[in-house]
Amino acid sequence: MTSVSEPSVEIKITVAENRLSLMRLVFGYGIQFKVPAGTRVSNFLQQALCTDADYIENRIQTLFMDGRAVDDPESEEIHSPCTLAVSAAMPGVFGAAFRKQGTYSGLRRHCSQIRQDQENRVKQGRIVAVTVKCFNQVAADLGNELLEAGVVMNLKDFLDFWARQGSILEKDNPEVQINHTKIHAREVTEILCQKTGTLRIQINAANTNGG
Amino acid sequence: MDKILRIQMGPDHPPKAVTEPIGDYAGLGGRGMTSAVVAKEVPPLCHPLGADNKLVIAPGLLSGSAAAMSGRISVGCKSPLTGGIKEANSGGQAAQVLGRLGYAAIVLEGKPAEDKLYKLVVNKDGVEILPADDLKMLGNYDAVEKLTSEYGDKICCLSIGQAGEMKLGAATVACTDMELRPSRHAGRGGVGAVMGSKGIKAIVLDDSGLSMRSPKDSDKFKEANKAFVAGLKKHPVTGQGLPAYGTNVLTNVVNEAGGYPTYNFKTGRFDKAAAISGETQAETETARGGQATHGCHRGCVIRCSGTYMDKDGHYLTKQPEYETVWAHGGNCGIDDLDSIAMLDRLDDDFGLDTIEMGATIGVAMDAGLAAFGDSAKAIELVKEVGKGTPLGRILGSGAGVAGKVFGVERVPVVKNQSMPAYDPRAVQGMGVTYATSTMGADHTAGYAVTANLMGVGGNVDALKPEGQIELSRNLQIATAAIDSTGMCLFIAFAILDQEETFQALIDMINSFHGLNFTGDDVTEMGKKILKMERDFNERAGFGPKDDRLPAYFRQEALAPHNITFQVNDADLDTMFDF
Ligand code: SF4
Repeated sequence: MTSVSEPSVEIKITVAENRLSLMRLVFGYGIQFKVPAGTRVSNFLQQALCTDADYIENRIQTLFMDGRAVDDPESEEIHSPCTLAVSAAMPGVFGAAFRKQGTYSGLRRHCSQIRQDQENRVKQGRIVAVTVKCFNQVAADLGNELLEAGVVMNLKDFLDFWARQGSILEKDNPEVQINHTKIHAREVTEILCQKTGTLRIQINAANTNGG
Repeated sequence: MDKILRIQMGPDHPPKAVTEPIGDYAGLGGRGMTSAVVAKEVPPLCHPLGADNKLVIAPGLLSGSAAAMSGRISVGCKSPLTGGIKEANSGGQAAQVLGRLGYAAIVLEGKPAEDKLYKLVVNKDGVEILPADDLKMLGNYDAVEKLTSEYGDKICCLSIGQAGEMKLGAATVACTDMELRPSRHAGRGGVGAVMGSKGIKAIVLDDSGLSMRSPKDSDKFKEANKAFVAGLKKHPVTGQGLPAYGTNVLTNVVNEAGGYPTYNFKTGRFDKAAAISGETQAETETARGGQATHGCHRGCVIRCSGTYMDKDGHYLTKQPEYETVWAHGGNCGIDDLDSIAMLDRLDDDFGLDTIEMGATIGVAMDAGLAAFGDSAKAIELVKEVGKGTPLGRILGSGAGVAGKVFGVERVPVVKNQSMPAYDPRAVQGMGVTYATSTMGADHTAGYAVTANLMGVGGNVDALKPEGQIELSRNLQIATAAIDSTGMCLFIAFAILDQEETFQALIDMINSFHGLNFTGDDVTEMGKKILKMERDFNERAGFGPKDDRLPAYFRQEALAPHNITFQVNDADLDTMFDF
């Protein structure tokens, strides 16, 4: 179950611009949001990912809610904690089978119907936690702005990310602050592994000219 | 490409080369050519490693021309892994070079009388069959390096590693890429073992002094090729997704869909998938000075490949494909890209099919030979194959043999060939393809998407098995046709979505060969190939019982969706009713 508690830690990192793509890998782990139950998937994604309906409609070709493909994000609603995963077009028969309203979208189990049964049992007006995973071009398109604005993720996931990618970043000696205190990049794991819950991460590019 | 080169290895005579006109095989390329020769000339009940089997190597219909994406080479035979007909295809330079040399196929026949190794050298001046015992038990990388030092860097090579020489069921035929690395493989079904049984270690192809094949109608061809390339470039998958992340772009998404076979097909999701995803792989490659976008042959405009460097920035292997990352990664609980890349390198060097080997290591892990997630042990096990130890020979014979030797029930094979990276319970149409393909469990057999090709649009209801059979049937027909053109299968996505790109492909074939092919003719070609292959398999003793998934796919529900494979046997048996 996704936690809806406030992040216990805030980390700010200023990286070289060519490292932003590396930082965008955090979107594969998932970023967390809170949303009123009953929010439509499309509206939620527009707000969460700071984008517009056109992007949701056209660029996002594959959209899963808890592993089940969503055909119509305009009508699908969020009623309980869930994970949404968004991707641009996928290759091969897999891509075709799971593409929104693709030729073979009928091959899937009927996600909408299945969820409808659950939703009928859920009262509106509550706040629910949603994890959003952004893959491939979607992360590339939207990730930098989201990172600059700050995103919340599971602290354990961030530690896993850092264990795998931190050494590349550490070499650049980026500027790092945890809860407004400057630290060395090498200390990130040591400090964070004592903490639990979620973390707010904000990334700035050292050179902002490139866009 | 109006001639066939036959290499007759004996045993009644010393190896000799015979060039003959293409004859009845005119108009065939790639899989169409390999399957036609095997179906006509190989006795279906022969031993796959015996003198009666033949190894057919065929470029596509447009290989050697300026047509974009036309560089796949098909390798066909009776498979030592499945016992049925086999076509495995590969990228790399070989198809283009063989096309320019003018050969529609090289057929390796017979068997040498003595246990000696040979190499074949083909250039504009002719063909030589030379002793190659100095290459004995060399890995593909060392063998190619030796050949390059002898014949220069303008050549390309087809070769086998130790696995091929030991005639193991997972042995591949390696093809060199543009940088002369033996990193592309005709991987499936043990085709390398058949090359080994013929005593051929390597085929050196050199098209120096030769020019591209020229089309019958040059203007039309140029125009069609331009439209085809434009179509590939504008499509989001072939123009953006595949170039940026390679096929491994699928890891995160298949995993999210709950169809990612994990821990030897025990569950449909791997909680460390993000760490081995295409996104992470591309970042790792770039950060270490490798390339995240790279073509495997001249004329590829999608460029789904890349180069993977080790931690010190030295070339380790080409960018591991989605299926490789899955087989050696999630399927074995391994979440470390460097280990997966090392396993890919070892497989390429020993000449092993990465899917078969990953599936085999998964079975070995179930048998207790290593713990799931133990990457060091997985590397050790693959090294056993290279050394040719008894354990290594068992593992190199594939998942089916390993399962029998170690008493494991959970062996994900059909016709003794390992399933690739989509669990058939979560992607049931793929399960139909695995069960019924003439090739054994093979994702590429039904990879193309063919609504436009077949005119079978509209929705297919997942709850009705008939729909899945029809889908798989159409995909298999279309794939057989695309495999015969010598085009990379990844063109399929652009062809599906963009009618004009499909038309451009037909126009290219027509203007090149002076034909009037229609979409329907392409369909007919696919059907003919499948029927031919099916007929061979029936004559080899295959029946309905062979068109089944292992029973546990019907009995064990797959998490997270808790579903079993539900297409019934009677429906599977209608697959070839066309
Ligand atoms: S798209 Fe990939 S597999 Fe196909 S030809 Fe290009 S590099 Fe090779």
